[in-house]
Amino acid sequence: MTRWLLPAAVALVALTACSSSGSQSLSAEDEMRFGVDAGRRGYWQEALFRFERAIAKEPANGEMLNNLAVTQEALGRFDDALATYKDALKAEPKNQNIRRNYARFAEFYSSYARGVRPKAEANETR
Amino acid sequence: MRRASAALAALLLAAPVLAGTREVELRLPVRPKLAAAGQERVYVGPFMRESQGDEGSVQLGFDVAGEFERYLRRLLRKETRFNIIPSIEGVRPSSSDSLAVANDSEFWRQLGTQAQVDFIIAGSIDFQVQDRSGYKTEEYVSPIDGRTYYRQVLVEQTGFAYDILLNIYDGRTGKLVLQEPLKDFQERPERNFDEFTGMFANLFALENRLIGVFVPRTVKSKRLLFTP
Repeated sequence: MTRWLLPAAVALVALTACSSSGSQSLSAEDEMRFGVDAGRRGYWQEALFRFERAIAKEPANGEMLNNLAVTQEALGRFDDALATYKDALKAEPKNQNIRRNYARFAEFYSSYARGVRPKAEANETR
Repeated sequence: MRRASAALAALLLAAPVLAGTREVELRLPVRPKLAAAGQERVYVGPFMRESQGDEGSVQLGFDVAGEFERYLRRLLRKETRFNIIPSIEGVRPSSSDSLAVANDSEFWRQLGTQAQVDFIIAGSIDFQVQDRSGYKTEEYVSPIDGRTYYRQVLVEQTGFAYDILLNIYDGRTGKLVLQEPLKDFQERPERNFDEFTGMFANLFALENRLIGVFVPRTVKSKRLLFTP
């Protein structure tokens, strides 16, 4: 148990440090790498921050847009994810992995949209 | 040697695709189909048994509709925060025709007033036990001459088919607010498999879908992230 705790803590500290200082000079690829690492660990807010920065540097990169869409899905921002997936496919229409992600998302999103909002949730958003 | 180099070439070709992605698992929410706050008063029943009169089906020795009603009541008590009202003695559907019953809003309104509930969950159920045993063709390699033959073998199977129609009514107006069909079929590798055990094995398989009508769930789904 403690064997895993220490590297995880070090990685978290490193990620936090990167997000707070010196990240201005990171390339889009570095931002993407940090984002993927954060996403794999379940730190989706951090991943979102990283992918948004990466896209600011390379706005037409389909792979980065795909990563951003996955992150938006993980955070429950499904309408944003739909738009971002479309942008990713526009940038790379023949990329099989993006198409696969989009197909899975579309399957989920259509059933999610068909479901009804619980009354309490509906009241909260009013 | 040639095979090894071909395998290496294939690996090298596939490497960018494999190395360039990471799979992540997301937990995504699934909304319930019934618009409810979750703490309403709910009455379960009455359910009707609908039989399609299939020749292959077996006569059952228990009350399918009654057992399903009891099961659903227990499931909703366990998995939801609804206030499940105990069943009222002597409540029977107003007609044997399930379509007419579904449209009889006066009957459901009266039941809702009597039980003082927000929702009534009723409907119909068809459960069939089918003897699906029969002969099937199978490949057979003879240990004597090593040749392949085809032979007929008796496969003993029992099939269990469900056809449930959940009707959910507004307890105040008696209007039908949601209709949800649920179908399932399962096979057991045994002849004369106990029908009661088979029924509940099927219901356990349906449990997630049944609960999903009333409360939100999460599903796991995999996505690919690109790595630089």
